[in-house]
Amino acid sequence: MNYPKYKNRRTRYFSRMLLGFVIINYLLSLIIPWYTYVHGSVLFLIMSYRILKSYRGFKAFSGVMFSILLMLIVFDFKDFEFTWSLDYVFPGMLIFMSVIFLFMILAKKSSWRKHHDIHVYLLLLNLLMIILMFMNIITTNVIVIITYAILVASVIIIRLKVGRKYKEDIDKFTHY
Amino acid sequence: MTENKWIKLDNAAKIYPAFAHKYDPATFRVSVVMEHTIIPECLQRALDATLPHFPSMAVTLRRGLFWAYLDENPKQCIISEEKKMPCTYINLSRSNGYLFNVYYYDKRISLECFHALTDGYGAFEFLKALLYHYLNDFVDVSSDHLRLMGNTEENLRDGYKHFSNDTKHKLKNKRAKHITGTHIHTEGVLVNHALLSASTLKRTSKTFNTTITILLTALYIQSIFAIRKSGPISIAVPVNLRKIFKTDTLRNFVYVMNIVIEQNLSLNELISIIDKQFKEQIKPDNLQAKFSQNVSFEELFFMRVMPNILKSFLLKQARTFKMKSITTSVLTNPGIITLPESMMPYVKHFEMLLYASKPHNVNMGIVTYNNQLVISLSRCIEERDVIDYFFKLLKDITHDEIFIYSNEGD
Repeated sequence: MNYPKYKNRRTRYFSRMLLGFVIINYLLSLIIPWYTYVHGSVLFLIMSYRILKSYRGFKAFSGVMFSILLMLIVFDFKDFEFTWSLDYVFPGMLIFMSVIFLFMILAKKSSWRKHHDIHVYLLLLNLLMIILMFMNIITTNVIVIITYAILVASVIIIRLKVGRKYKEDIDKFTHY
Repeated sequence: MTENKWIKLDNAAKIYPAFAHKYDPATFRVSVVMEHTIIPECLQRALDATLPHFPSMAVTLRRGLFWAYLDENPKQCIISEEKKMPCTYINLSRSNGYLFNVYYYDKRISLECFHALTDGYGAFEFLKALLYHYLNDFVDVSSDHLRLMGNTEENLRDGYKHFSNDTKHKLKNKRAKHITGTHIHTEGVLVNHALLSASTLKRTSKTFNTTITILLTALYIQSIFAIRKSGPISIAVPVNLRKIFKTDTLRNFVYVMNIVIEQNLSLNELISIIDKQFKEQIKPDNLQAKFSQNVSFEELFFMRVMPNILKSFLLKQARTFKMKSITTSVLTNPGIITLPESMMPYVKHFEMLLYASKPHNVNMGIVTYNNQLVISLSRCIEERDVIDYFFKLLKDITHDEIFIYSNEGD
């Protein structure tokens, strides 16, 4: 009825401390414009650390890309309005991710099973981008339409490549 | 499980992925203590042989857009030597995606399960099948009355949804007092076990004209009052709904009764009040109305279409501010474990451990096998005054020897 001798590490509430740090950074960035760069960088480092700790492979890569996007959006919001980040970086990132995702599925069909959730998130981000375009927050309509077209094309190609599993996996991911 | 092998989380399971983390892991442990030292190679082979027949266990957790779900896991589940304290958070990246871990140490085999996967009953069924395959590797044992397969439609059924109806019962619960103390600030729980004769305790409970569970609940409440001084004290006692609704699902199918006592009373008075509350709450219609209420909440349109990330946040807040506040502690008794006679010479006893997290700092698990009743009190605080007092009361009342052991070291 023995138990092993534990090498206990005392846990500390890092998450709460980090959250407090992020909030302080955010408040400071509202007062000091250049502090936005510090706030954005800290946000990126924390997010990337958490993502790399929990995920591997394409999921980790996508997570880090998303953190970069968020960091750039924060940088852009320095003067309390979005310009280049939403107009160029956001669609650019979506195109880049979609193309990488497409090539990955074309090279290895089985990776669809593991990463179909990312595909859905890319489509949702695309939808968000279109909504932002109609709200005139994104003003580069041509880039948005090109991004939309690339995403639609990628959906068709992936659907053809993956076959019946495409609907099954999307169904289970979006079941409600 | 549907054709492409995934399962929706059952109604009770839906909350666990929303809040579970290192400090609130939603993990419980069922263990078996053997007569001999565990042979890891045989245990790994046994797990490889058992798992494919239990599709509800051979899954991983995925977070969907609206709800998390259980998806088929093709990877191998690897056993490991116990090194951490019991009931730690199950990290999917370290468990090959599985929502349970199988540990061995000395003479003990432990199955630690994330509660979204199954409840105590399901875990014990899996552990017994694992034990059968383990023993069968080096001795000839029979599988009489053992469940070696868990792949029928009924085994995989969401009992809550299947048996819910239109009746609803709104819960009105008061805030309860908690067992407070200094947090141990480590992952897992400290545990104190008491091993005693089940027949002696049964005899004792008969003298009070009650059952073992009610007697132990009363003693536990007395111990809490002795230390905590004021009430109300509310003990959550899970009820196995399978017996009441005649089903054989291996997924979660329990409902938690709350036994509420406002002030300290004599043991006889406590037993009488608890008995009354048990009888009232255990009525099938009452239970059905209560879990139907939960099912109908889950099926509300706005709940269904709310993104998972937002839903998780709301469920977590509801648990922290409402559900946790109404319960002082949890006491679970999955009942008597039986094994085929040919397996019995190899098995000493079983144990059942619940995780403990703030503010449910002390919880109790009870399990009986071959006239050996093991009470396991797990805690995440340094103070063990309630536990010591409970063991003292137990000794006083049974007038019998109680073997006490723990994982606290020297």
